[in-house]
Amino acid sequence: MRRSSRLIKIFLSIALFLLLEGISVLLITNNSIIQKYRIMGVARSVQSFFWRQGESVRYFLNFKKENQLLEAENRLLKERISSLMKYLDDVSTEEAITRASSTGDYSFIPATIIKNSANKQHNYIILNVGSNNGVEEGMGVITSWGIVGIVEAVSPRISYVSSFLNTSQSISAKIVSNGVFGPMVWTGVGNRAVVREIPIHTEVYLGDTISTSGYSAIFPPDIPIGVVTSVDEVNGVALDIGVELFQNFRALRLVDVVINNYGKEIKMIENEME
Amino acid sequence: MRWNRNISLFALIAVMIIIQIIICDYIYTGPYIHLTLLPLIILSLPAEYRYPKLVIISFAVGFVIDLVSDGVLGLNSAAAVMTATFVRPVSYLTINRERSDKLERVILSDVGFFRYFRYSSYLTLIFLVTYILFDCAGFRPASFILMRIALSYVANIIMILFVSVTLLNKRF
Repeated sequence: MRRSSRLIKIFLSIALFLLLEGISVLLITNNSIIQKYRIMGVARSVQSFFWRQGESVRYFLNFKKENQLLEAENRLLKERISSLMKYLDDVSTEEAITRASSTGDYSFIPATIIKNSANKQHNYIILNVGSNNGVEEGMGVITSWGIVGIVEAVSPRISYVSSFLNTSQSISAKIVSNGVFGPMVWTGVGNRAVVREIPIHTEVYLGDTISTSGYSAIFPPDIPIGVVTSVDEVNGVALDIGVELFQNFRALRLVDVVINNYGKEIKMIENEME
Repeated sequence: MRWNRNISLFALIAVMIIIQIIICDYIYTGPYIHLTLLPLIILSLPAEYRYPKLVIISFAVGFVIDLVSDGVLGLNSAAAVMTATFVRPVSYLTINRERSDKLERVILSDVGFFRYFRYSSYLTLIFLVTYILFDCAGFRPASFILMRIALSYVANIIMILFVSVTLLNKRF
């Protein structure tokens, strides 16, 4: 009798262990960082108030660094304007007017980061813009120094961005010198990433620039991402290219959410093809 | 008396949960070190608790930390459930069965430094191995995982011993 009640206790303990461990594993496998954001929507809206206050204090303290970044960005824009001016000198006035009045493939929504994590294996960012500002799920987030992440969930006033510093995040990147492209993922350590599946015969040199390929419809093409720091052969069939990112994710504050003006049409065609 | 004792203990555990949330959200320890007070919270629970009570409390504490802090939901609760499962076997192994059954709570001054060190080391390792494997397995090289476990173990055991000596080395 005593032995059977002991066996029942052991059996119940094992069942309890399996149940609780099972619940936990289920939560992990459901990519729960996003689920959490949705489940905790109400709590997050309260938290976002405090994050905004904290962000104001950080903004005040980081004035100097912020100004340096803006100066550098300004310099880049001036260089770009001067090169475009040279180009405009070469084309006719009518053509210049036509080109200037066209909207282009992408538009941008400026946003401020109110919460940023950079020390985990799965990092995320919260922006101060949401569906009220035109942000939608699946839009890319960039700065002048590279890509930042992809919008995963949107509420009316804030957006939840899955940072590029996320082991499950992959974007399409290309080597600027020869246009060869491949998926780029974060290595999980610091500001380093790796571009995989590059054909072995590709000529790549240390210091080459890596930029967005523009094949994903999420990020505009030719945004510089980083420089090549290592080239490793994988099983004799492909190259893994180590990249040092330009973007310092710890100093992030101002970003742009990318709207692909042809995004809806692309999605419609993709759905029709499926 | 017993009621007051439980209140003091649970107030301390609540403080440790808040510290853990602060560690998760605001302290950057790099990719190789995962700092956690959760094993300490589990091994601070009264030794008289039977397995169902212990594992449910551990799961609940892990889940609260998962919900409130940054990171993947389920990681802390999975590791906490695994650690709670091994609390009794590890205490029998390191402290001895007879003595362990008599203890109200495992504290350093009662069992001695060496035994307490072994007890907390095994439980911390169980916690870290579960947590890091769930967090990294499949998309991280084995060298990264092993290095992360080793460095996290060293950092955590120092922190756990420090907190055990300074805050938990008394009966409530």
